[in-house]
Amino acid sequence: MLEVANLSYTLPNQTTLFDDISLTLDEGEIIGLSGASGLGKTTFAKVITGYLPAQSGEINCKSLKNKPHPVQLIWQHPEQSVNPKWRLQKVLEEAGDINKHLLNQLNIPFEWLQRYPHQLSGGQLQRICIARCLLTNPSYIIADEITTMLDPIAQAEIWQLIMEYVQKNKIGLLIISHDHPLLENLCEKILDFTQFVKPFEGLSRNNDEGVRT
Amino acid sequence: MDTILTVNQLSVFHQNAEHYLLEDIHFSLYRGQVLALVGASGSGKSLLAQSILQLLPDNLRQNGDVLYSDRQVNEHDRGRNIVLIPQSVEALDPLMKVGKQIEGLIQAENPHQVMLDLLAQLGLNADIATRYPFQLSGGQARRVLATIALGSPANVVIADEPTPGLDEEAKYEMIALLKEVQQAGKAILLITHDFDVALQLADQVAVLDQGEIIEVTDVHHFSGDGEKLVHPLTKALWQSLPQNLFIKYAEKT
Repeated sequence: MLEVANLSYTLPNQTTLFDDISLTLDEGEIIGLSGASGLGKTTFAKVITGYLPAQSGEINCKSLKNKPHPVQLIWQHPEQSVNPKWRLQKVLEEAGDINKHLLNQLNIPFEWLQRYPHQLSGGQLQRICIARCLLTNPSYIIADEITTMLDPIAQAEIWQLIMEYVQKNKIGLLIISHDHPLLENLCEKILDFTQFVKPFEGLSRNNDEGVRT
Repeated sequence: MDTILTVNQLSVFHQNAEHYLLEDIHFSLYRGQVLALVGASGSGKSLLAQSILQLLPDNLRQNGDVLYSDRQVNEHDRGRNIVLIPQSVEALDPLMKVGKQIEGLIQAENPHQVMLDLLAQLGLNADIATRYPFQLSGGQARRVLATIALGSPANVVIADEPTPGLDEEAKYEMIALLKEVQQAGKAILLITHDFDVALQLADQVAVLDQGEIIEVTDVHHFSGDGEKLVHPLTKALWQSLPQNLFIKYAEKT
Protein backbone atom coordinates (compact mmCIF):
# COMPACT_ATOMS: atom_id res chain seq x y z
CA MET A 1 0.00 0.00 0.00
CA LEU A 2 1.16 3.52 -0.81
CA GLU A 3 0.53 5.76 2.16
CA VAL A 4 0.68 9.54 1.98
CA ALA A 5 0.34 11.13 5.40
CA ASN A 6 -0.07 14.82 6.23
CA LEU A 7 1.78 16.03 3.17
CA SER A 8 2.10 19.81 2.75
CA TYR A 9 3.91 21.99 0.25
CA THR A 10 4.84 25.64 0.43
CA LEU A 11 6.43 27.60 -2.41
CA PRO A 12 9.59 29.67 -1.83
CA ASN A 13 7.41 32.79 -1.67
CA GLN A 14 5.61 31.29 1.36
CA THR A 15 2.45 30.46 -0.61
CA THR A 16 1.03 27.18 0.66
CA LEU A 17 -0.02 25.07 -2.31
CA PHE A 18 -1.59 22.22 -0.41
CA ASP A 19 -1.82 21.37 3.23
CA ASP A 20 -2.13 18.14 5.14
CA ILE A 21 -2.96 15.69 2.38
CA SER A 22 -3.43 12.10 3.49
CA LEU A 23 -4.44 9.30 1.20
CA THR A 24 -3.79 5.64 0.61
CA LEU A 25 -3.56 3.76 -2.65
CA ASP A 26 -3.79 -0.02 -2.54
CA GLU A 27 -2.16 -2.34 -5.03
CA GLY A 28 -4.68 -2.79 -7.82
CA GLU A 29 -6.74 0.21 -6.69
CA ILE A 30 -7.68 2.98 -9.14
CA ILE A 31 -8.38 6.44 -7.75
CA GLY A 32 -9.19 9.67 -9.56
CA LEU A 33 -8.03 13.14 -8.53
CA SER A 34 -9.66 16.26 -9.95
CA GLY A 35 -9.60 19.97 -9.15
CA ALA A 36 -9.12 23.36 -10.82
CA SER A 37 -5.85 24.07 -12.65
CA GLY A 38 -3.09 25.88 -10.83
CA LEU A 39 -3.90 24.36 -7.43
CA GLY A 40 -0.84 22.11 -7.22
CA LYS A 41 -1.99 18.71 -8.48
CA THR A 42 1.14 18.30 -10.59
CA THR A 43 3.36 19.42 -7.70
CA PHE A 44 1.63 16.83 -5.52
CA ALA A 45 2.32 14.19 -8.18
CA LYS A 46 5.99 15.22 -8.31
CA VAL A 47 6.35 14.94 -4.53
CA ILE A 48 4.90 11.45 -4.25
CA THR A 49 7.01 10.22 -7.16
CA GLY A 50 10.19 11.64 -5.66
CA TYR A 51 10.87 14.43 -8.18
CA LEU A 52 10.44 16.99 -5.42
CA PRO A 53 11.34 16.47 -1.75
CA ALA A 54 8.50 16.19 0.75
CA GLN A 55 8.66 19.27 2.97
CA SER A 56 6.50 17.86 5.72
CA GLY A 57 4.52 14.70 6.12
CA GLU A 58 5.39 11.18 5.04
CA ILE A 59 5.25 8.92 2.03
CA ASN A 60 5.50 5.20 2.71
CA CYS A 61 5.38 2.12 0.61
CA LYS A 62 7.24 -1.14 0.28
CA SER A 63 10.68 -0.86 -1.39
CA LEU A 64 10.57 2.92 -1.52
CA LYS A 65 14.37 3.06 -1.46
CA ASN A 66 14.64 0.83 -4.55
CA LYS A 67 15.72 2.08 -7.95
CA PRO A 68 13.87 2.73 -10.16
CA HIS A 69 11.40 4.44 -7.88
CA PRO A 70 8.38 2.15 -7.24
CA VAL A 71 5.97 5.08 -7.76
CA GLN A 72 6.25 6.24 -11.38
CA LEU A 73 4.85 9.37 -12.99
CA ILE A 74 3.50 9.64 -16.53
CA TRP A 75 3.65 13.31 -17.50
CA GLN A 76 1.11 15.57 -19.15
CA HIS A 77 3.39 16.70 -22.00
CA PRO A 78 5.26 13.72 -23.51
CA GLU A 79 7.37 15.97 -25.74
CA GLN A 80 8.72 17.68 -22.62
CA SER A 81 9.44 14.50 -20.73
CA VAL A 82 11.90 12.84 -23.10
CA ASN A 83 15.39 13.95 -24.08
CA PRO A 84 14.93 15.47 -27.58
CA LYS A 85 18.45 14.45 -28.57
CA TRP A 86 18.08 10.76 -27.71
CA ARG A 87 16.75 8.13 -30.03
CA LEU A 88 13.71 6.44 -28.51
CA GLN A 89 15.69 3.25 -27.97
CA LYS A 90 17.91 5.13 -25.53
CA VAL A 91 14.86 6.78 -23.96
CA LEU A 92 13.41 3.34 -23.21
CA GLU A 93 16.68 1.70 -22.19
CA GLU A 94 17.03 4.23 -19.42
CA ALA A 95 14.07 2.53 -17.75
CA GLY A 96 15.29 -1.06 -18.14
CA ASP A 97 15.76 -3.84 -20.65
CA ILE A 98 13.45 -3.41 -23.60
CA ASN A 99 10.69 -5.97 -23.55
CA LYS A 100 9.44 -6.77 -27.05
CA HIS A 101 6.23 -8.28 -25.76
CA LEU A 102 5.39 -5.06 -23.91
CA LEU A 103 6.09 -2.95 -27.00
CA ASN A 104 3.77 -5.23 -28.95
CA GLN A 105 1.03 -4.79 -26.38
CA LEU A 106 1.38 -1.01 -26.66
CA ASN A 107 1.37 -1.15 -30.48
CA ILE A 108 4.85 0.32 -30.71
CA PRO A 109 6.56 -0.87 -33.90
CA PHE A 110 10.21 -1.74 -33.33
CA GLU A 111 11.34 0.65 -36.04
CA TRP A 112 10.16 3.66 -33.98
CA LEU A 113 13.04 3.01 -31.60
CA GLN A 114 15.51 4.34 -34.14
CA ARG A 115 13.60 7.62 -34.40
CA TYR A 116 13.95 10.84 -32.45
CA PRO A 117 11.05 12.16 -30.33
CA HIS A 118 10.04 14.88 -32.83
CA GLN A 119 9.47 12.19 -35.47
CA LEU A 120 6.44 10.81 -33.62
CA SER A 121 3.04 12.40 -33.02
CA GLY A 122 1.95 13.36 -29.50
CA GLY A 123 -0.12 10.21 -29.07
CA GLN A 124 2.66 7.95 -30.36
CA LEU A 125 5.17 9.60 -28.05
CA GLN A 126 2.83 9.22 -25.10
CA ARG A 127 2.76 5.45 -25.79
CA ILE A 128 6.58 5.47 -25.61
CA CYS A 129 6.36 7.28 -22.26
CA ILE A 130 3.89 4.69 -20.98
CA ALA A 131 6.23 1.92 -22.14
CA ARG A 132 9.10 3.64 -20.34
CA CYS A 133 7.04 3.78 -17.18
CA LEU A 134 5.98 0.11 -17.38
CA LEU A 135 9.55 -1.08 -18.11
CA THR A 136 10.48 -0.05 -14.57
CA ASN A 137 7.93 -2.56 -13.19
CA PRO A 138 6.28 0.08 -11.01
CA SER A 139 4.06 -0.81 -8.06
CA TYR A 140 2.13 2.45 -8.40
CA ILE A 141 1.52 4.81 -11.31
CA ILE A 142 0.51 8.46 -11.18
CA ALA A 143 -1.03 9.53 -14.52
CA ASP A 144 -1.09 13.33 -14.70
CA GLU A 145 -3.49 14.47 -17.46
CA ILE A 146 -1.87 11.99 -19.80
CA THR A 147 -4.44 12.06 -22.62
CA THR A 148 -5.78 15.64 -22.74
CA MET A 149 -3.85 16.39 -25.91
CA LEU A 150 -5.20 13.38 -27.78
CA ASP A 151 -8.23 12.78 -29.99
CA PRO A 152 -10.94 10.51 -28.51
CA ILE A 153 -9.87 7.37 -30.35
CA ALA A 154 -6.25 7.70 -29.25
CA GLN A 155 -7.47 8.37 -25.69
CA ALA A 156 -9.63 5.25 -25.60
CA GLU A 157 -6.79 3.12 -26.98
CA ILE A 158 -4.28 4.35 -24.43
CA TRP A 159 -6.61 3.84 -21.47
CA GLN A 160 -7.55 0.39 -22.66
CA LEU A 161 -3.87 -0.58 -22.71
CA ILE A 162 -3.15 0.92 -19.31
CA MET A 163 -6.21 -0.59 -17.63
CA GLU A 164 -5.42 -4.02 -18.96
CA TYR A 165 -1.82 -3.85 -17.73
CA VAL A 166 -2.70 -2.34 -14.38
CA GLN A 167 -5.38 -4.92 -13.63
CA LYS A 168 -3.20 -7.83 -14.67
CA ASN A 169 -0.22 -6.68 -12.64
CA LYS A 170 -2.13 -5.36 -9.60
CA ILE A 171 -0.72 -1.85 -9.90
CA GLY A 172 -2.17 1.04 -7.89
CA LEU A 173 -3.17 3.87 -10.23
CA LEU A 174 -3.88 7.52 -9.43
CA ILE A 175 -5.44 9.35 -12.38
CA ILE A 176 -5.26 13.15 -12.33
CA SER A 177 -7.76 14.67 -14.77
CA HIS A 178 -10.32 17.42 -15.37
CA ASP A 179 -12.38 15.00 -17.43
CA HIS A 180 -15.16 13.77 -15.14
CA PRO A 181 -16.70 11.24 -17.53
CA LEU A 182 -13.22 9.73 -17.88
CA LEU A 183 -12.69 9.49 -14.11
CA GLU A 184 -16.17 8.10 -13.54
CA ASN A 185 -15.53 5.48 -16.18
CA LEU A 186 -12.18 4.31 -14.81
CA CYS A 187 -12.02 4.95 -11.07
CA GLU A 188 -13.40 3.30 -7.99
CA LYS A 189 -13.42 6.63 -6.18
CA ILE A 190 -12.72 10.24 -7.09
CA LEU A 191 -11.03 12.72 -4.76
CA ASP A 192 -11.42 16.47 -5.08
CA PHE A 193 -8.05 18.18 -4.73
CA THR A 194 -9.75 21.45 -3.74
CA GLN A 195 -10.33 20.11 -0.25
CA PHE A 196 -6.57 19.99 0.37
CA VAL A 197 -5.99 23.54 -0.77
CA LYS A 198 -5.83 26.60 1.40
CA PRO A 199 -7.25 29.67 -0.31
CA PHE A 200 -4.35 31.98 -1.01
CA GLU A 201 -3.76 35.36 -2.59
CA GLY A 202 -2.85 35.46 -6.21
CA LEU A 203 -5.14 32.58 -7.14
CA SER A 204 -6.29 33.28 -10.65
CA ARG A 205 -9.88 32.53 -9.83
CA ASN A 206 -11.11 34.99 -7.26
CA ASN A 207 -14.75 35.69 -7.63
CA ASP A 208 -15.16 37.87 -4.59
CA GLU A 209 -12.75 40.66 -5.17
CA GLY A 210 -10.46 42.28 -7.66
CA VAL A 211 -11.97 40.84 -10.81
CA ARG A 212 -13.86 43.93 -11.88
CA THR A 213 -12.13 47.21 -11.20
CA MET B 1 -28.24 32.86 -45.38
CA ASP B 2 -25.65 35.53 -45.01
CA THR B 3 -22.44 33.77 -45.99
CA ILE B 4 -19.31 35.46 -44.76
CA LEU B 5 -16.49 33.01 -45.50
CA THR B 6 -16.42 30.49 -48.31
CA VAL B 7 -13.77 27.84 -48.82
CA ASN B 8 -13.97 26.21 -52.20
CA GLN B 9 -11.82 23.40 -53.64
CA LEU B 10 -9.01 24.30 -51.30
CA SER B 11 -5.94 22.12 -51.44
CA VAL B 12 -2.48 22.40 -49.92
CA PHE B 13 0.41 20.66 -51.61
CA HIS B 14 3.77 19.87 -49.99
CA GLN B 15 6.29 20.64 -52.70
CA ASN B 16 9.22 18.68 -51.28
CA ALA B 17 7.30 15.58 -50.23
CA GLU B 18 5.10 15.89 -53.34
CA HIS B 19 1.84 15.06 -51.72
CA TYR B 20 -1.38 16.77 -50.69
CA LEU B 21 -1.80 17.77 -47.06
CA LEU B 22 -5.30 19.11 -47.66
CA GLU B 23 -7.46 18.07 -50.57
CA ASP B 24 -10.64 19.48 -52.03
CA ILE B 25 -11.92 21.25 -48.92
CA HIS B 26 -15.36 22.88 -49.22
CA PHE B 27 -17.40 24.72 -46.63
CA SER B 28 -18.99 28.07 -45.92
CA LEU B 29 -19.53 29.98 -42.74
CA TYR B 30 -22.47 32.31 -42.29
CA ARG B 31 -23.06 34.98 -39.69
CA GLY B 32 -23.91 33.54 -36.29
CA GLN B 33 -22.73 30.05 -37.21
CA VAL B 34 -20.29 27.88 -35.33
CA LEU B 35 -18.72 25.12 -37.39
CA ALA B 36 -16.62 22.68 -35.40
CA LEU B 37 -13.71 20.96 -37.11
CA VAL B 38 -12.70 17.71 -35.43
CA GLY B 39 -10.27 14.93 -36.32
CA ALA B 40 -7.17 13.12 -35.09
CA SER B 41 -3.96 15.04 -34.52
CA GLY B 42 -2.08 15.34 -37.76
CA SER B 43 -5.27 15.31 -39.84
CA GLY B 44 -4.64 18.89 -41.01
CA LYS B 45 -6.90 20.97 -38.75
CA SER B 46 -4.39 23.68 -37.85
CA LEU B 47 -3.06 23.65 -41.38
CA LEU B 48 -6.52 24.54 -42.65
CA ALA B 49 -6.59 27.52 -40.27
CA GLN B 50 -3.20 28.69 -41.50
CA SER B 51 -4.30 28.23 -45.06
CA ILE B 52 -7.43 30.38 -44.59
CA LEU B 53 -5.30 33.11 -43.03
CA GLN B 54 -2.68 32.91 -45.81
CA LEU B 55 -0.04 31.95 -43.28
CA LEU B 56 1.44 28.86 -44.95
CA PRO B 57 5.20 28.41 -45.10
CA ASP B 58 6.91 28.80 -48.48
CA ASN B 59 7.29 25.09 -49.22
CA LEU B 60 3.51 24.58 -49.20
CA ARG B 61 1.43 25.56 -52.20
CA GLN B 62 -2.21 26.48 -51.85
CA ASN B 63 -4.85 26.14 -54.56
CA GLY B 64 -8.54 26.94 -54.62
CA ASP B 65 -10.58 29.79 -53.17
CA VAL B 66 -10.87 31.31 -49.74
CA LEU B 67 -13.44 34.08 -50.03
CA TYR B 68 -14.34 36.70 -47.45
CA SER B 69 -17.62 38.35 -48.50
CA ASP B 70 -17.12 37.14 -52.07
CA ARG B 71 -13.55 38.30 -52.59
CA GLN B 72 -10.27 36.45 -52.10
CA VAL B 73 -8.81 36.70 -48.61
CA ASN B 74 -5.49 38.52 -48.40
CA GLU B 75 -3.10 39.28 -45.56
CA HIS B 76 -4.90 42.57 -44.78
CA ASP B 77 -7.91 40.58 -43.62
CA ARG B 78 -5.84 39.07 -40.82
CA GLY B 79 -6.83 40.63 -37.49
CA ARG B 80 -9.35 42.97 -39.19
CA ASN B 81 -11.88 40.61 -40.73
CA ILE B 82 -10.61 37.18 -39.73
CA VAL B 83 -8.93 36.61 -36.42
CA LEU B 84 -7.16 33.58 -35.00
CA ILE B 85 -7.06 32.32 -31.42
CA PRO B 86 -3.82 30.39 -31.85
CA GLN B 87 -3.25 26.93 -30.46
CA SER B 88 0.23 27.55 -29.14
CA VAL B 89 0.57 29.61 -26.00
CA GLU B 90 3.99 30.51 -27.35
CA ALA B 91 2.23 32.99 -29.67
CA LEU B 92 2.53 35.64 -26.94
CA ASP B 93 5.46 38.07 -27.03
CA PRO B 94 7.65 36.89 -24.11
CA LEU B 95 9.12 40.36 -23.53
CA MET B 96 5.92 42.38 -23.29
CA LYS B 97 3.46 42.54 -20.41
CA VAL B 98 0.28 40.83 -21.45
CA GLY B 99 -1.93 43.88 -20.75
CA LYS B 100 0.05 45.89 -23.27
CA GLN B 101 -0.20 43.09 -25.83
CA ILE B 102 -3.97 42.89 -25.47
CA GLU B 103 -4.66 46.64 -25.39
CA GLY B 104 -2.50 47.29 -28.43
CA LEU B 105 -4.78 45.15 -30.56
CA ILE B 106 -8.16 46.28 -29.29
CA GLN B 107 -9.75 48.83 -31.58
CA ALA B 108 -12.11 50.66 -29.25
CA GLU B 109 -12.36 54.06 -27.62
CA ASN B 110 -11.28 52.71 -24.29
CA PRO B 111 -9.16 49.62 -24.96
CA HIS B 112 -8.15 49.32 -21.31
CA GLN B 113 -11.76 48.96 -20.17
CA VAL B 114 -12.59 46.51 -22.97
CA MET B 115 -9.60 44.43 -21.94
CA LEU B 116 -10.60 44.40 -18.27
CA ASP B 117 -14.13 43.37 -19.19
CA LEU B 118 -12.90 40.53 -21.37
CA LEU B 119 -10.45 39.32 -18.73
CA ALA B 120 -13.20 39.36 -16.12
CA GLN B 121 -15.55 37.43 -18.38
CA LEU B 122 -12.92 34.73 -18.71
CA GLY B 123 -12.46 34.57 -14.95
CA LEU B 124 -9.08 36.28 -14.89
CA ASN B 125 -7.98 38.75 -12.25
CA ALA B 126 -7.13 42.27 -13.51
CA ASP B 127 -3.58 41.91 -12.17
CA ILE B 128 -2.91 39.40 -14.97
CA ALA B 129 -2.42 42.43 -17.23
CA THR B 130 0.71 43.45 -15.34
CA ARG B 131 2.40 40.08 -15.80
CA TYR B 132 4.76 38.74 -18.43
CA PRO B 133 3.75 35.59 -20.33
CA PHE B 134 6.15 33.36 -18.36
CA GLN B 135 4.28 34.32 -15.18
CA LEU B 136 1.03 32.82 -16.47
CA SER B 137 -0.16 29.25 -16.10
CA GLY B 138 -1.00 27.38 -19.31
CA GLY B 139 -4.71 27.93 -18.79
CA GLN B 140 -4.27 31.63 -18.08
CA ALA B 141 -2.13 32.12 -21.20
CA ARG B 142 -4.79 30.44 -23.30
CA ARG B 143 -7.43 32.83 -22.02
CA VAL B 144 -5.17 35.82 -22.68
CA LEU B 145 -4.86 34.66 -26.29
CA ALA B 146 -8.64 34.55 -26.49
CA THR B 147 -9.05 38.10 -25.15
CA ILE B 148 -6.66 39.37 -27.82
CA ALA B 149 -8.74 37.78 -30.56
CA LEU B 150 -12.13 38.64 -29.12
CA GLY B 151 -11.20 42.29 -28.64
CA SER B 152 -10.85 42.60 -32.39
CA PRO B 153 -13.70 43.72 -34.66
CA ALA B 154 -13.27 40.74 -36.99
CA ASN B 155 -16.41 38.96 -38.18
CA VAL B 156 -14.77 35.56 -38.49
CA VAL B 157 -13.07 33.93 -35.51
CA ILE B 158 -10.92 30.86 -35.97
CA ALA B 159 -10.42 29.27 -32.56
CA ASP B 160 -7.66 26.65 -32.76
CA GLU B 161 -7.99 24.36 -29.71
CA PRO B 162 -9.07 27.09 -27.27
CA THR B 163 -9.70 24.81 -24.27
CA PRO B 164 -6.95 22.23 -23.52
CA GLY B 165 -5.45 22.75 -20.07
CA LEU B 166 -8.50 24.66 -18.85
CA ASP B 167 -10.30 23.25 -15.85
CA GLU B 168 -14.05 22.74 -16.02
CA GLU B 169 -15.00 26.21 -14.81
CA ALA B 170 -12.56 28.03 -17.10
CA LYS B 171 -13.72 25.88 -19.99
CA TYR B 172 -17.35 26.89 -19.50
CA GLU B 173 -16.37 30.54 -19.27
CA MET B 174 -14.59 30.18 -22.60
CA ILE B 175 -17.65 28.48 -24.10
CA ALA B 176 -19.92 31.23 -22.76
CA LEU B 177 -17.72 33.93 -24.24
CA LEU B 178 -17.58 32.26 -27.65
CA LYS B 179 -21.37 31.93 -27.51
CA GLU B 180 -21.61 35.69 -27.04
CA VAL B 181 -19.36 36.16 -30.03
CA GLN B 182 -21.69 33.95 -32.04
CA GLN B 183 -24.78 35.82 -30.83
CA ALA B 184 -23.16 39.08 -31.90
CA GLY B 185 -23.49 37.72 -35.43
CA LYS B 186 -19.91 36.63 -35.98
CA ALA B 187 -18.95 33.29 -37.47
CA ILE B 188 -16.68 30.84 -35.63
CA LEU B 189 -14.58 28.01 -36.99
CA LEU B 190 -13.92 25.96 -33.87
CA ILE B 191 -10.99 23.57 -34.20
CA THR B 192 -11.06 21.11 -31.33
CA HIS B 193 -10.75 17.51 -30.29
CA ASP B 194 -12.90 18.17 -27.24
CA PHE B 195 -16.35 16.91 -28.22
CA ASP B 196 -17.85 18.38 -25.11
CA VAL B 197 -16.91 21.87 -26.34
CA ALA B 198 -17.93 21.15 -29.93
CA LEU B 199 -21.35 19.85 -28.91
CA GLN B 200 -22.10 22.83 -26.71
CA LEU B 201 -21.13 25.45 -29.27
CA ALA B 202 -21.41 24.16 -32.78
CA ASP B 203 -24.32 23.99 -35.20
CA GLN B 204 -22.48 21.60 -37.46
CA VAL B 205 -19.43 19.38 -37.12
CA ALA B 206 -16.96 18.69 -39.93
CA VAL B 207 -14.65 15.68 -39.58
CA LEU B 208 -11.22 15.95 -41.12
CA ASP B 209 -9.19 12.83 -41.87
CA GLN B 210 -5.82 12.85 -43.60
CA GLY B 211 -6.48 16.19 -45.23
CA GLU B 212 -10.02 15.50 -46.42
CA ILE B 213 -13.37 16.39 -44.93
CA ILE B 214 -15.08 13.01 -44.71
CA GLU B 215 -18.34 14.14 -43.17
CA VAL B 216 -20.20 17.33 -42.28
CA THR B 217 -23.09 16.62 -39.99
CA ASP B 218 -25.61 18.29 -37.76
CA VAL B 219 -24.43 18.51 -34.17
CA HIS B 220 -27.60 16.72 -32.96
CA HIS B 221 -26.51 13.60 -34.85
CA PHE B 222 -23.93 13.00 -32.14
CA SER B 223 -26.22 11.07 -29.81
CA GLY B 224 -26.97 7.51 -28.75
CA ASP B 225 -24.69 5.01 -30.42
CA GLY B 226 -24.05 7.43 -33.25
CA GLU B 227 -26.52 5.66 -35.53
CA LYS B 228 -27.21 8.93 -37.40
CA LEU B 229 -23.55 9.37 -38.25
CA VAL B 230 -22.48 8.15 -41.66
CA HIS B 231 -18.73 7.72 -41.87
CA PRO B 232 -17.14 4.92 -39.78
CA LEU B 233 -14.46 7.29 -38.45
CA THR B 234 -17.08 9.79 -37.28
CA LYS B 235 -18.86 6.97 -35.47
CA ALA B 236 -15.55 5.79 -34.01
CA LEU B 237 -14.70 9.27 -32.68
CA TRP B 238 -18.10 9.43 -31.00
CA GLN B 239 -18.13 5.90 -29.59
CA SER B 240 -14.64 6.17 -28.12
CA LEU B 241 -15.60 9.02 -25.77
CA PRO B 242 -15.45 8.23 -22.02
CA GLN B 243 -19.21 8.89 -21.71
CA ASN B 244 -19.87 6.35 -24.48
CA LEU B 245 -18.20 3.01 -25.15
CA PHE B 246 -14.68 4.31 -24.41
CA ILE B 247 -12.27 1.45 -23.72
CA LYS B 248 -14.86 -1.10 -24.76
CA TYR B 249 -14.63 0.54 -28.16
CA ALA B 250 -10.84 0.14 -28.18
CA GLU B 251 -11.20 -3.54 -27.16
CA LYS B 252 -13.49 -4.19 -30.12
CA THR B 253 -10.93 -2.96 -32.64
